[in-house]
Amino acid sequence: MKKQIYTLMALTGLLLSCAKEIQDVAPEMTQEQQTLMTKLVGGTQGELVPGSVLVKMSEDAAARLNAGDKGMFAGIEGISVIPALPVQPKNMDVARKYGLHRWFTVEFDRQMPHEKMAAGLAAMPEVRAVQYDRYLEPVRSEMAVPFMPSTRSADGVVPKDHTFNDPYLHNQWNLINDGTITEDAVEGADVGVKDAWKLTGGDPSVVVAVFDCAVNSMHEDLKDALWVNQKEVDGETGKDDDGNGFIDDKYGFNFVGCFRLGEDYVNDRLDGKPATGAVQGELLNWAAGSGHGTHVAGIIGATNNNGKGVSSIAGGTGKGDGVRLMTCQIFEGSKTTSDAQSAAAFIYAADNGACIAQCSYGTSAIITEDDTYLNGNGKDDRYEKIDGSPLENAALRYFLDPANSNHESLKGNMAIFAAGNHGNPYSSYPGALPYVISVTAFGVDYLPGGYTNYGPGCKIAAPGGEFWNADDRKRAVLSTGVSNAAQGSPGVINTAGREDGQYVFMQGTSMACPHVSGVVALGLSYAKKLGKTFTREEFTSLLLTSVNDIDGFCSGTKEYQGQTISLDQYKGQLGTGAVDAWKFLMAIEGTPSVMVKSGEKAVIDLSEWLGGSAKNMKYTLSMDEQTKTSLGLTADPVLKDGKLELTCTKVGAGKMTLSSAVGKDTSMENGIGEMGFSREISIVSRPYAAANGGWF
Amino acid sequence: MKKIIYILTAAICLLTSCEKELTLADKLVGDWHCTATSTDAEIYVTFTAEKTFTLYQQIGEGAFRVYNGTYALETSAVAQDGAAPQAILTGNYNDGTPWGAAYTVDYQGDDILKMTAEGISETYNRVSGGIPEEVKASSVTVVRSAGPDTLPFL
Repeated sequence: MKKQIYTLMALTGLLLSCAKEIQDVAPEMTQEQQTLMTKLVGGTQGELVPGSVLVKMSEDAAARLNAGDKGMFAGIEGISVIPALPVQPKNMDVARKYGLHRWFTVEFDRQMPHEKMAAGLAAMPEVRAVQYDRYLEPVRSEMAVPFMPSTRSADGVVPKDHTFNDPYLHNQWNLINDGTITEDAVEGADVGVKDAWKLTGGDPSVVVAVFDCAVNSMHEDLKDALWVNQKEVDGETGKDDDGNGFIDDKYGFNFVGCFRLGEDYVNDRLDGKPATGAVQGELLNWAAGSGHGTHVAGIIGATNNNGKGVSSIAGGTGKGDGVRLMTCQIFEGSKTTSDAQSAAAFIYAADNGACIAQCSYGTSAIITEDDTYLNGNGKDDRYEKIDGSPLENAALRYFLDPANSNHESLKGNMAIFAAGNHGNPYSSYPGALPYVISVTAFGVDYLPGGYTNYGPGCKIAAPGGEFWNADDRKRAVLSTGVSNAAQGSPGVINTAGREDGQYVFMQGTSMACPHVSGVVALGLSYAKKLGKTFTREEFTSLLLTSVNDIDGFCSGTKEYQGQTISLDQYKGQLGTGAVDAWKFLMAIEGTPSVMVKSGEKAVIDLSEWLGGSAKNMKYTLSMDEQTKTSLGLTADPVLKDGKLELTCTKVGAGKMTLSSAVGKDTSMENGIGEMGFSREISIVSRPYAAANGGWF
Repeated sequence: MKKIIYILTAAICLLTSCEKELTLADKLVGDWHCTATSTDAEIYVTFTAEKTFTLYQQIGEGAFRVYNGTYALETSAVAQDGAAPQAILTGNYNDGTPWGAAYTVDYQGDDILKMTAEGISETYNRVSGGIPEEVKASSVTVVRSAGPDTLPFL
């Protein structure tokens, strides 16, 4: 009893102090509104799902609800309360770990204002949090410019030194930039995949879930690269043939507007019985919108070496050995998923075999603290909370969890997000979170795209292109497209059964993001080939340190949309550097070595090892005594300005670990979090060493 | 009888000419293998009669890296008294980089090669069956992604 009284007093105190704080901020609020403020999480801006609010219940209340006891809501008329997720996660232990079992949707009269219902729910002690179920902001319409045969001379002629026979490969500076596609093209301003392809082109065991518009399953260069749910393909239309809780998910699922089937399904869930219904959605609709998802998918896995169209980072070598692309449709033209539907998409990806979530989307508002995004507790003098979706975040954590690993070479799954195209000095969320990758964009000239977000939260850079009008289209990223969209008639599904041979140019961090997803997919393919396994943290460390310097290009100014912008502001702000697929594969192979001449001071440029921003980052160095003895180090190595200085007095070899972090907002105490990474390097000391690393 | 004498004479001439043509350069030609345990490296090298070499090196973990180039060997004929010949082996990689050192080459029989530079000796054993196919198949060419002053990523 005493314990209960103390708890009640503490809670009351907390509420009162919060209420006082809110009262100070917004004295015009009612008591109900003030209570709501203490429990409201996530964003309040944007379009809300009519007649729907999400609530996170206490453990006890959630257990009672899941057992069918809805009595706690007896005081609120005209509502129905159902589990927020339309499908039960396969791994309930992990789902419970992130509180997914505690989320419910309260459905009510659409005429009632959301705030009124939310305030009433917040007053319930069983309700721990209230979140508005909002629709995702639609992808900013990005121009898809058709690929014209005359874009570059000698189209259709495959250069002799190219690995693959895809006729448009030499238009893809983002894959192989030889410095000739434009006057200002910089050789090497690409993803470094040319030599990587000699080692691997991909592996079908790697499934990349594309969270976007649907992937065009009728495209000539994608149809053989799709993740296929064969039981659904061979089964009946309108039936959940494979029993995974989704109907007709042949190549993935359309989460836009998806709904739970039938009252039986709902009642069975609330009675604690296994779900007997399934989730119904519209068929995958890749034609609605600009073909954004199709373009993104093509960068990752368009089939290589098939004599058609484009090449891709991990589309195989022409032997059906490319990675597989799963559609998790969250955009359909101007329509998008709600928070609950987006969460369901992450559950689906985790439960159906995807190991990489490719997410070219994010918030448009500037958010400067992880806590603001996750809990909506930003210090804002307005009543409205800042953008965010705790429910979607819980589902994202479910996807990432090592217990849901979907590839033999990776413990955990990975999520890659676009940094955003608003030119903000912060990454968008969710990309800025410390456990996912956020990708910035550079162009054919190795300069940051004038649109790219940069700064805290950004982890790595990749080709995103930059073009100003259709005549400059070759400066953008060429990939697979959708005929109807490219011809200006979006929304019309290709029902004629004709194969689509459309290729288009697009630009943005949306395009940069799949480059990193593709490199990660290629890396996993190679890890499998070598029989190696990594944790997500280890794999991420290797990725973030397999980059080329981009900061060297960030000086002076450039013109963008009629304005002169300073490039200095991007220095050290684009992540660790420009992703390099070759370096990544070498890193996966094993600890890289550098040979130094014993008896002389060696100065090792860390940018070769740790990325181009090495000189801007702070590293800590650690090594064991055996290494010091083996190399004859009489003094500790010195880390200075991105260089490692050491003098080895003996012939020998040893390893040392360099650790650092990226994405940290150093201007704020509780700002955007950092993503730590470390890299082991090996030093080999000999009395002689060829400058190119050759043994003799 | 005459026929037998002719055959014997020819055989003696042949044997005599073989002994005269056996040089250090000839003995160098072939495939060699070295395991340098102090530096955790495994080395395979092929020296050809055309004065080219192909080097496969694995330092620590990772794949073998392959280098190609040319070499020069200043040799003397095999000494009459059987003393080990002295020879200096130098070379250049195809990218124009010279070897880090000039090596003194010593043979211990036909199948063991000792290469010494800066006081450090490394022993190479002849590989009779050629460089292992798995080494050749998995070897990669060193790719430099940074400037010429940057130590390569091996």
